[in-house]
Amino acid sequence: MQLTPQKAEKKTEPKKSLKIALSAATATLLAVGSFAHAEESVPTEPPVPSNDSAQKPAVWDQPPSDFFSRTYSALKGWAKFNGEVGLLYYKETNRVSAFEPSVNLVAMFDGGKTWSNHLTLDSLTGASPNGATPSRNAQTFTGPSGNSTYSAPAGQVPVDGSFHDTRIAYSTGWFQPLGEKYEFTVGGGVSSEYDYRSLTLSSTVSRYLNSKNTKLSLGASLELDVSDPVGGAPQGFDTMNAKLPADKALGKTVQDFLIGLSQVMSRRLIVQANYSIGSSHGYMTDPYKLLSEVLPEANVNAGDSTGVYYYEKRPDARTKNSLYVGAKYHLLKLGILSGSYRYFWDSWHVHSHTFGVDYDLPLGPKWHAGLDVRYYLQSKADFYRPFLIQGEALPSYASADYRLGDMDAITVGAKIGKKIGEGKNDLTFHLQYYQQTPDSNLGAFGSLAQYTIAPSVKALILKMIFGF
Amino acid sequence: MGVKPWDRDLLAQPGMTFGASLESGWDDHIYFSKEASSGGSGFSGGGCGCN
Amino acid sequence: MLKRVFNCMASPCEILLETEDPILMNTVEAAVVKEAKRIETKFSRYNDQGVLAVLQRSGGARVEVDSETAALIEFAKTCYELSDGLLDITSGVLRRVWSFKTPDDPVPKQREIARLLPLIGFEKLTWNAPFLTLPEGMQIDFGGIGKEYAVDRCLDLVSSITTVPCLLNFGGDLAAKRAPSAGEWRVGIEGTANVVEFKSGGIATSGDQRRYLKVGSKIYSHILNPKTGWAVESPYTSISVLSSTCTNAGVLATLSFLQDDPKAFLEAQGCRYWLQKDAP
Repeated sequence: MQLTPQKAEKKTEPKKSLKIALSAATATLLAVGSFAHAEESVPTEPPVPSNDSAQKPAVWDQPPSDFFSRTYSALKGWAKFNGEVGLLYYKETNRVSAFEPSVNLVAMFDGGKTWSNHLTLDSLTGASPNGATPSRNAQTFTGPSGNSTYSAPAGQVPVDGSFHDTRIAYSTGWFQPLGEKYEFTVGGGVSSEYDYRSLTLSSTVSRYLNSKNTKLSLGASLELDVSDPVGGAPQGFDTMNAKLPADKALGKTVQDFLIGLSQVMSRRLIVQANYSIGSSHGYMTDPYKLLSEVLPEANVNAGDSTGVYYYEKRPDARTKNSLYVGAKYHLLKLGILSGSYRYFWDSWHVHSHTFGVDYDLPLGPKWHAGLDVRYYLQSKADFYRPFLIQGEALPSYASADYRLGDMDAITVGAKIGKKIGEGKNDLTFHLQYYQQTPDSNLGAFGSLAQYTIAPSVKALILKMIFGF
Repeated sequence: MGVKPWDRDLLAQPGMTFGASLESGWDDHIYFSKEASSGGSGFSGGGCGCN
Repeated sequence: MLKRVFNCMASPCEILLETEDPILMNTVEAAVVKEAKRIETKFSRYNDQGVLAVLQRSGGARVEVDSETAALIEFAKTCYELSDGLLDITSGVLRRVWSFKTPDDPVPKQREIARLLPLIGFEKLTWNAPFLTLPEGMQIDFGGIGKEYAVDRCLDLVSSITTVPCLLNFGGDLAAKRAPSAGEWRVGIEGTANVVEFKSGGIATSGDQRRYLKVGSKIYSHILNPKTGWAVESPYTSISVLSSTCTNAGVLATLSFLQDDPKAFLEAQGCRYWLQKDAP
């Protein structure tokens, strides 16, 4: 290492000026703040007790003036806020479409305490299959209230008359640490639409171990739902035209328990595993869905609808289990890769596998993009039946709701987002395509064999989210 | 297994947490109304008449 | 002379007030404790909601800091320039590889240190008051001047309450503005046999009798050079400096430790100093 003559000079010369410059810098530092003063100022004796305003350093250099900046200042001092505002647009080809604006608002207080709020409006339009099978002839159905009818053209999967349904849901939660090792959350929510109301309460307690590298959680929730369908709920296996008077409002309770483990594996990898078990009791039947009765194979018109339709009937108890594992791996400059798998099984003998992979990549300091894929495979509930056969004894339970059948589904998506302004504000657009394909082998015979009893669901999903 | 507190820089980024978001709420609702399974990564917080 | 003691910043903190009035003492104590704890909490490395954690989570985004933090960053910038980069608030990442819990703790390998050097350097920050942009992976902390700043801050606060002479001593970093009626304050320098008499000013000590690493006959002090990432090997275990304020004294004491010849440096500054050479 060479020391040039210039360098040597530089070392000795500014030594004196260092002390002066340093003193000046310190004086500047200590002058900042609401009680900056020169030593000459003479406070009075007896002592003036220090008041709070002298303690707090000025966060803003301008005093707040009008109402909005004063409120903003007050809010800013009360808690730190962040959240998301967004809109979901879901559109199936020919069937249901939904608009769902939502807001998440989180207030963070000192000590890690957090109060979160979530509000969603869900506006659904369109028609969905009512469970009946297509027929050679046009079919007419009575609407749920008994006052209206709707029909299905020959050869088409019958869908219930177009409906509009709006749902509003609000939920709130309080989170706080308890000492060094524990955290807990309590929360609740309400949801309301014209024929359905729901109330939920939940709580989770977590404990940290291994210097906060391991987190164990235990949660419980209770949900109370009331179904109040238009025209009253039919009894299971009532026939459509002879609907007997029914109870007006039917309830259901759901209890869920969750045990979770989160583990930091390395600076870049964190994994999570959850097991949850839930038990539902009460009314779980869809009051608007039917099953067609068709002529048996031996009949010359095998597969034709007999014109008799039965309202579906589901058990009044259901126990669900799920096992979930997920991992997030940070690829440094290459972004974050996430993967997850869930295995689900229940007392209706539904089994499913869900695989998901997400990749998020920053593109420079402002932009970011992502890709996601989800694959879902489901095997049917044991009482799923695309139709009933005339002459056969009615089973204990039956439903032709395609959502309970054998199927697989794939979602693919891409997203792009940009940081807005300073700070953490971000606007993201996410476009996904969802396709659900039911098992084509539904035991169709006779005239049914020429129809698609349960067609695919194809939907476009657009999400716009502003985060702050 | 695990890391020292000063090595939690990457883990502190929002993309590295398993928490619920607006999007996860929407996805839970979509898949709950189109499929027979539910739950997994946490409590979905509330029922609806869509299934 | 009344004395009160409280704990803050991992040290015993003393307030000496030349008065016999317990009410005045209570007022002064309450104000000092509140302000010291405010500073401790606000700039604590372990506070998830504190300024440093917010900056660390910023992920390379620009953050607006409040005027106090801005003043400290501005001061740190001046120190960085005046010291030719030897005083650098971004050097905290070195704590990942340097541990001074016991003298037998391992000395890190050069490659471990080399990995961290790209994350050090005040010049890598973008600082346009009050906006700070901290590149991903970098961090700042005011540990090097936190206690001294708190002493000076609290002393200013006491001066706004009373003109009575007061000495604040936060774990060996101390300051007073007015001499007591006895003529001079008498204080002991932490860890040494030295007793110092002074009328006013601040005293800070750099180096620590207890925190060092010993490998064979080599002693590594816990002062790290941000340019090389290595601990300073010094013949001295601690250096104390008397200057106009405690903050000033702290900067000079730490800076002198990083010089090839601390004694010559301090002589050139023209301030009183005490060098401790006890072999640990």
